[in-house]
Amino acid sequence: MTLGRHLLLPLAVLVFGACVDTTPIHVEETHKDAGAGTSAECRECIMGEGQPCRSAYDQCLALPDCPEFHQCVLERGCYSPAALEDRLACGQPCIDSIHLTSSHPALPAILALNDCSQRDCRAQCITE
Amino acid sequence: MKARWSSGLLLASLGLSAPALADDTESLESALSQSVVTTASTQAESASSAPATSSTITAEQLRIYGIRSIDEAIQFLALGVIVSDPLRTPDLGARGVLLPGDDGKHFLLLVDGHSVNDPLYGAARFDQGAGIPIDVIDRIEVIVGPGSVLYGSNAMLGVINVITKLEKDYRGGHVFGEYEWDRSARAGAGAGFHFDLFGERAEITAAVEYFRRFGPDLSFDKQAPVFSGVNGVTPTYRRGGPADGIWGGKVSDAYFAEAPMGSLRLRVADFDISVLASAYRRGIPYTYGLVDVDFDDDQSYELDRALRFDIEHYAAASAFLQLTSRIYADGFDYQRRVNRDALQGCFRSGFSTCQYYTAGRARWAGIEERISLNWLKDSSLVTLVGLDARMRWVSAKEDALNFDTGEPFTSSTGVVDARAGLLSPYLQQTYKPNLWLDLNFGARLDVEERISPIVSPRGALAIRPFELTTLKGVYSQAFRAPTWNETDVGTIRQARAGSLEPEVVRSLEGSIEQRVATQRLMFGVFRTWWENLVEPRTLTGAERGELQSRGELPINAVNVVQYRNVATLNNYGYNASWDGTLARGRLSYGLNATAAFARRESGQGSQLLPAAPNFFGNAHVAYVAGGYAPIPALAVSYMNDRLIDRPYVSGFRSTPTAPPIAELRATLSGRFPGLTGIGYRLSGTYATESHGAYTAGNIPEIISPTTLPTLAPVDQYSVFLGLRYDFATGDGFSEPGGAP
Repeated sequence: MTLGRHLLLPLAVLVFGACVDTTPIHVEETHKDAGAGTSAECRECIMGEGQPCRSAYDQCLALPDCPEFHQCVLERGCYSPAALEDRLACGQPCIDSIHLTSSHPALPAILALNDCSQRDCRAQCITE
Repeated sequence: MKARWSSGLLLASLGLSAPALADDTESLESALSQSVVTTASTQAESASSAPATSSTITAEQLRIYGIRSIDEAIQFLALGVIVSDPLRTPDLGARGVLLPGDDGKHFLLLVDGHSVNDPLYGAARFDQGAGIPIDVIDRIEVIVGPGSVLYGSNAMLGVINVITKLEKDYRGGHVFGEYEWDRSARAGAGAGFHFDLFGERAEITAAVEYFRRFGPDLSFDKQAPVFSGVNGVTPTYRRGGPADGIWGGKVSDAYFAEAPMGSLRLRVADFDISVLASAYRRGIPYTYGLVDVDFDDDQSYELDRALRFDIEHYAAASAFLQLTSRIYADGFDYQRRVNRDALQGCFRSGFSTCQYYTAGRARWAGIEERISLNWLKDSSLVTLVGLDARMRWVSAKEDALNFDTGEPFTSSTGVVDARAGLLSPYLQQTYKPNLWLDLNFGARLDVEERISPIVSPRGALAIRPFELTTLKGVYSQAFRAPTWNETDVGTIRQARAGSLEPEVVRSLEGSIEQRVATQRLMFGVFRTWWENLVEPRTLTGAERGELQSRGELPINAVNVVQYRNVATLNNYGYNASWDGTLARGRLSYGLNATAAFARRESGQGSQLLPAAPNFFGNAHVAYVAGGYAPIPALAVSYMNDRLIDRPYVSGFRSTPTAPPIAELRATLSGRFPGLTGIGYRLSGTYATESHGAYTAGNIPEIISPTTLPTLAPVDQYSVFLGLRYDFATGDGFSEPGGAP
C-alpha cells in the first residue's frame, strides 16, 4: 500500500491537472446603437426609385411585419454596422417586436434587404 | 495461429481432468488449440464456453499480418465486427449495426479491464488514437453483443479488451520503426525487466510509440454549392483562397495525424499498476455532418489527450475467497479547431477567417471491489460480487475566435460544467455441475443521477452433448447512458436536449461449435432489439422558431440539430467462423462471416441503416516454416454494398449506395539470419474500390435534385516496411516464427 500511496498522488495530479481550459469566455458586446438613425444617402439607396435595393424593399413591403421591421432598423441605424452579428444586436428590439424567427415569412425579404445594403449600398450605409 | 495457453488453465476451464484427455490425442490437440477469453466473465475460460460470442487476436497475429492498430486487427481478424473508415477516426459496427460518426460510443473499450470511454462524449478510438503502443499488446479480446452485465454503459455492440504483455512476454529491450510510403511513419521503443523492490519481485513492461500520418493526397470531386452566400458574396471554401464558390479538389495538407503514446505496467507482489498516456491530433480532410471546415486546411484539427491510471490488488484469502480491489483515475480532453471564412461561417466581416474552438474535458475516478466465492473450491460453483463506485466531472465550451489574433469575438456557447456519481453493484453466478453443462447468470444495476436506475441482466448456458461439440445460448442486455454532449450542449448548430432516456439493447443468440482436432467450426444466430436510440435530429422550421422565440437559439441559427431518442433498431442474422491449423501448426488460417438484416424504425418509417453492410467478413492464412524462413501471411476483409452514410437527405435522385469492397493485406515477416535480434516485416495493402460510403461536403448547401453525393476516397494502395531490434531478451524469449 505504501507503493500505491507514493504513486497515487503524482499520478492523480497529472490526471487532473494537465487538462484543457474550459473556462467560459465572456465578451462584452460592443455593438453600437446608431442612435442617430440612418443617413439620407443610405435610405435613398435602399428605398429610392430605381436604386439598387428598391426591388428588395418592394418585396419587403408586400410581406407581413416586414415594413415595421424595416422602419425599426432604419430608426435605430442598424444598417451602419458591417458585421451581421452587430446588426443583429442592434436590431434585437426590432426582432423582438415582430417575433422574428427563422421560419417567419418575412425573413427572406429581411435577409435580402440586409444583403443588398451590405453589397450594393455599402458605400452609402456602412459607417463602421 | 492460436495462442498456446497452459494446458492446466485450459483443462481447468474446460472442466476436464488431465488423465481423461491424455488418452485422447484429438481432444488434447483440440483443447490446446482453443482460445481463452477473460473478458466475458472476468475469469479465464475457453471461448466455446464463454457466455458470449468472442474472438481473440494474439500478438503473434498482430505481427505476422502486418497489423498496426486495433481497428486493423478487428477488420482483418475478428469475428462479427465491421470497421469503416471515414478518414478521421474509424467507425465500428457489429452484427449489421453500424452508426456513422459514432466515435466508438457503442463499443466499450477496455485496456486490461480498465474502461476507456469518456462520459462527456462516450468516445473510444480504435486507430492510433486508442493510445496503446501496439508492441505491448498481448492479445485483443473481442466480445460481440451486449456486455453491460459486468462493465456498464456503452457495451451495446460489444466489448473490446486490450490486454497488455507481462514482463515474461516482453523481456529485454525493443526498438522498432516502420515507414509507409507517402503515408505514415511509426517508431517506438519498449522494455521489460524485473528487479527487487522492498524485498518483492517487481516486473515492469513499458513502451513508447510515435505515429505520424502525412498522406496520401486525397481527391474530392469539385462541388458548386447552391448557396448564394451571406450578403450575396460568393462563398469561399478554402482559407485565403478565391471566392469562387467551389468546394473540393485535392487535399494535400489536411489529411494528417500524429499520435504519441506511452504505457507503463508495474507488477509488484499482488499489485498491478498501470499508466497510459497519449495524445492524438488529426486533420479534418472534409466537411461532414455538423463540422463545416475550410477545404484542405492544415490548421483545422481535432486533438484528444488522455492520461489513465489504474492500481489493482489481488488477494487470495483462501481457495474459497478471492478479493480484487481496483482504484482508477482518468483524464481525457478533446479540442477541435475548425477554420471557416469569417463572413460565411461566422457572419463576420471585420476579418478574413474565424475559428470555432470546441474544448471538452472529462475526468473520472473510482474504486471497484470484487469478491469471488469459490464455493466448492474447484471453480465449478463461483459467485462473483462486485461494486463499482465512480465520480465523473465534465466541462465543455465552444468559442468563436478571430483566427489571426486568437481573440474571441463572442461569449462562449455550449458551456457545460457538471458532475455526477455512479454506483454499480453487480453479481455473477457460474455453475458447472458436470462436464457437459456450463451456466452463467448475472446482472448489474447502474444508479446515476442523470437517468433512472437501469438493470443489465445476462443469462447463458453452454451444453456439450459430445466432447468436442458445444451448444450455447445467451440472453444479454446492455445500455448506453446519454452523454453530456448529447444532453447539455447548446450552440448555434445544436439545440440543448435536456434529459434523454438511456439507449437499451436486448439480445438473444444461439450457437453451435464443433471442434475436430485443430479445426474449429462455429455457427451462430442472433436477434437484437434496440430502443431509445439517441441521434441528432434536424429541427423543423417551426421547432427552430419556437426555440428562437424563447431565446434558446440565436436568430441566425439555420441548420440546427437536437439529440433525441428517435429510433428503435431491429436486427437478426448469423455469424460463422472456421479456424484451424495444419502441418503441425505451421499453416494457420481463419474465416469469419456475418450476415445481418437490420432496420431502423422512427418517425420516418422503417429504413435500412446507413453505411451498414448486411454481409461482411474476413479471412486470413499464414505459413510459419520456422527458423529464419520468412513468414508469408495474407489477410482479406470484405463488406458488401451498403447505403451511404446520409442516404435519406432529400434531393438525391435515388437512394445512393456504396459498392462492395475488399481489402487485401499481404505481409512478409521474419528475422535476418546472422543479425541477432533484428527482424523485419514488409506489407502491402490493396483495396478494390476507390471510394467508401461517407459523403463529403456540406450537403444541405450543395445538393440539387440532380446531384449525386461526393464520396470520401479510400486509400487503394499502400506499402510499408518495418524493422525491429530486440536485445537482452534472455533465455526463453523467441520471436514468433520460431527464429532464435
